[in-house]
Amino acid sequence: MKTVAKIGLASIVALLLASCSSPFPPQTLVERLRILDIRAEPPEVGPLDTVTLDALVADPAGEGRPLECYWAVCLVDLGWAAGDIDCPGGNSFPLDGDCQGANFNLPELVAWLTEQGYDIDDLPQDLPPELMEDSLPLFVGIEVRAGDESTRGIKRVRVNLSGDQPNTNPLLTGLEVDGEPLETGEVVTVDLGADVELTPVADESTRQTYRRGEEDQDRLEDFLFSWYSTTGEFEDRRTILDVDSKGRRLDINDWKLRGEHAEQGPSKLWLIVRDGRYGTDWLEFSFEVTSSD
Amino acid sequence: MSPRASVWPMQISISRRSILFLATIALVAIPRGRAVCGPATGVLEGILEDKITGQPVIGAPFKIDGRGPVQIADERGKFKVTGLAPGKHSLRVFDPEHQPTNVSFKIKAAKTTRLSLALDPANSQEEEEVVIRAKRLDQEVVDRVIEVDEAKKIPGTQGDIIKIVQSMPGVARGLAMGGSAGPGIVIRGSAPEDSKVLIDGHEVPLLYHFGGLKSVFNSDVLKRIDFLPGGFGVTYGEATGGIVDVQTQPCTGRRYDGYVDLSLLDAGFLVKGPIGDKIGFFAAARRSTIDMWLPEVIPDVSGFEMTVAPVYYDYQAKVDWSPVEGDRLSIMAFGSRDEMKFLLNKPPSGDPSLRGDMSMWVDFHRLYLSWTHAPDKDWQLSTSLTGGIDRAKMGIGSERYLSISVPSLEGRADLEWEYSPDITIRAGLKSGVANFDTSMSMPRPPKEGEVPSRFSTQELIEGSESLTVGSVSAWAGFDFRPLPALMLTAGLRMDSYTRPVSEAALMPRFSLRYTLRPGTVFRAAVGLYYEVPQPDELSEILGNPDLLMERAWHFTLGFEQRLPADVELSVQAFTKSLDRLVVPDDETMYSNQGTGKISGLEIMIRRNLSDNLFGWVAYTLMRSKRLDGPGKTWRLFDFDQTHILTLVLGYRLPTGPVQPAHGLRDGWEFGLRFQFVSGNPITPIVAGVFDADYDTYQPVPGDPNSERLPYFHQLDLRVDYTWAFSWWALSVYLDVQNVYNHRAAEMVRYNYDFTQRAYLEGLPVIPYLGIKGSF
Repeated sequence: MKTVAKIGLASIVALLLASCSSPFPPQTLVERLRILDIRAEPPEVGPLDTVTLDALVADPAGEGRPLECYWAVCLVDLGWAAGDIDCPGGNSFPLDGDCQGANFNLPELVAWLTEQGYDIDDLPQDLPPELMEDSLPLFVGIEVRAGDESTRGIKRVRVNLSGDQPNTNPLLTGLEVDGEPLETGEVVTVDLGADVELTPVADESTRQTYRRGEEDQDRLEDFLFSWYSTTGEFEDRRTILDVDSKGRRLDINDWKLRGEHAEQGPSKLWLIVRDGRYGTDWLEFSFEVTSSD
Repeated sequence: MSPRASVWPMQISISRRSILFLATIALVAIPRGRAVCGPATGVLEGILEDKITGQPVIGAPFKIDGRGPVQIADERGKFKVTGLAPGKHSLRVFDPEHQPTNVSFKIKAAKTTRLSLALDPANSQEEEEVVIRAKRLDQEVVDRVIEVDEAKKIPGTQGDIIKIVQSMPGVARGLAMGGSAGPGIVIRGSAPEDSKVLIDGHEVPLLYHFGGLKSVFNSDVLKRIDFLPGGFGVTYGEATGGIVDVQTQPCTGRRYDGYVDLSLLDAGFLVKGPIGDKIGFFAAARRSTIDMWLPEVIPDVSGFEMTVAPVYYDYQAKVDWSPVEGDRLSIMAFGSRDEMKFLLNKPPSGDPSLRGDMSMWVDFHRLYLSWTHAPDKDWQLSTSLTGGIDRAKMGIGSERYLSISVPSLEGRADLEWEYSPDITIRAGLKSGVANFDTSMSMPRPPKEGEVPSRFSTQELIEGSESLTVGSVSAWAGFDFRPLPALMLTAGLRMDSYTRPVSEAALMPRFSLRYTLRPGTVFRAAVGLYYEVPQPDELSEILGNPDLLMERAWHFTLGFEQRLPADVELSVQAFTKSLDRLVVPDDETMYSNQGTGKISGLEIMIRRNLSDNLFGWVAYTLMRSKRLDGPGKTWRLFDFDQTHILTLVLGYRLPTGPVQPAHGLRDGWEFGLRFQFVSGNPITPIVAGVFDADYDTYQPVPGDPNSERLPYFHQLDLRVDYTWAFSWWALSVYLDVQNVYNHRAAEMVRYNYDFTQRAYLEGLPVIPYLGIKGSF
């Protein structure tokens, strides 16, 4: 009982904190070197696959300075009081790559794990809970350095040895700005002080139905959209492809070009989609924020 | 139950278990009570109570030396007579509902003589009368205790007596959202789960609604609370921290009374009274009122729906039957439920995968049966049987859930035998069984000292389990008074458990109390204590069934000194040595490799109720540390608060006479509470690593508990006014928490990648208005 009360209280506190207004600049505002996403193609490693990795890195204040990127496959414990998340570094399998990307394949991975004393059965597979033994916490990690700055990111490695229902990355196809589709490469002018309605456009044929084991029900992937920009703020940090009980769309977002974080001039905007099963995609857009004065 | 030097109605007694013998150096340093300049007369103070019920005899008339005006005891059965000449006097009480009582007493110049008198009811047999020992009240010089009537008026506690315990020395301050360390009380540097709260001898599964909003038990049906912060005797076990022992009122009143109470927090009622000559009852219930107004003030935000606003209720009902003198049968039922549900269509910014239904409900229900048998004045047997069920269910989104159901049964027997005036023997047995039925898909719950990764990224542990735990305890001990001023207490307790691994533990305990002179008492205690790990730690799914019991040694040393003007000074030093503590383990989930050290000093200066003024100042200096296993370094306990200072004051200003029908009177009551406390230790986050799958940053913690929050300080005030009519009374009260609106730093919050931080501020000034009708 006390355990439930403790979990419940901790969860409520966490949720309330997460929902409370923050004294800090929003996560959506990209002002310095940041990793915004890491993609693996395919998102699940099969026996014959070579996985291609790339990362969405933003460096708006870098003025085109050179970036250095280091990739590795690591074993990372994200449990309680875990200490430093040493990835890349520590106990890792370095990958050949640069800021354009890296790749690895399953035989290489298994060979490295064998050296560590593990075998193929320890690989993290998306199996029903009753079939999952203590699989390894396997991640790819990237460290990006630019001058004195550096930042790190990690992404889970998932393995699919059965070949059943392999997960694929979702596909973003575009963006609507105040109801009008934005053409690829087009630079749209928006007004400083305005609220701009943005609607993500995704290829819903890439939204998969899956099951976790034969006993499970059919589940439809979530399409969760993350929003980032170099100016302004968003009404919601994330939106989701869904509607609420009153029929309101939950994927549309408002980009607020006012307040302390809004500036005129060229601006970048990134839209990222995640399917909740480690699949992802992103698009980058350019805007010109002009003053109406 | 523990022997007590005094039994005031509805009392909190500071622990008498810690009994000490101190070096003479301290003796020399203690000043005697100074002689008070003034007239060479003395004062008589006392209380009159019914010998059977223990209830105050309101408005009892009495005379001193058979002459002079008839005087009247007040609504608490108390009286005070000043200007008495030194020497022998007599007191005659002639209350119409009680047999006339005559006692002799002696007055000393510039001193106060205190009497407690138990009056025989008018229809009782005077000779060969056997009373239930716990209600027995003999003429004696009483120790000072804090009365529940006053304690309920302490501001910031909403009249919740169990929250009063949090104003006692040695109790750490809890989070703004609730009780210490989540649900529970942090006593002398021990974790909340290491201390026990008992109601009529049996443990209560939960203490507060929603982790600290209000206690689950109506304080107005409580008779007494014993707060035992450490060094307690063999009648208590299964705890390495402290004990809060709550006793409910006996239902032996001869008149009906009760009330209806309404506030912004909850609404409730209480009624109690007799059923015939030998049966009495009370019944109380409360329901929260938050859900009636909260949805109206929550803005309509897209993506958030409050499906079930927070709601709680609790109930207590008891029937006592005394078929013959010396026997009492009781049956009591009580329970509680908390529930809340809301819908997140859009995930919160801090944790992207949390969406969907968020729900929690927790309830428990208990049925107590007890029989107390006291065939003569020298011994008493108390037996009780309790059964009940505890249930909880929680859901976070579509993938995280936890469901627990725990039916349980427990029996207990306590024997107290006064072998001679100088020797009392105590023995007891307790046995219980509980079945923990669990089904879950949830991360492992957080443990003290841990810094979690993001909730939505924590590994889910899934499965179902049924775990049966049986326990048997036995104890025996004695009180021995080899000298009039010296009391020795010794005993041995055995606790044993059956689970995947059976274990039994023997616990010797010893204490002494030495009265150097009237008003100066020294105490010392030493004892061994064991505690079984928490159910989730023993779980096959979540934990390690091979765990052993945690262990602690307690050492306590102190003294009490009565000072002039009804003031008492109490000083206690304590130290605890902990080992076999359950700590997280990479290989076995949990292991018994943890150790701990706790030491501290408590000082309390207390003025008992006199001339309508009462209060205390309590200061604790303490250090509590933990070592989480071999190769680790010592760190501070999560709720190590080096300095805890609490000031409580209460003042009554009556403006009218006592109304006999209900014992209340017109008048004002004022209360004040001030706290100044060291900030809790915190573990700083020194870096963040971007987690691409969850669009969030994973924290990289620094050294555990290596920093502290700023000091906490807060002033709470309360004012009551009562209109006492002939057969009912109306009270209005205003309780203001955080009067000068100091926004304390309750925790540290970080920006998205842990490169910036700020304090999360606590609650602002909160006025709490209520109205209460009593009859």
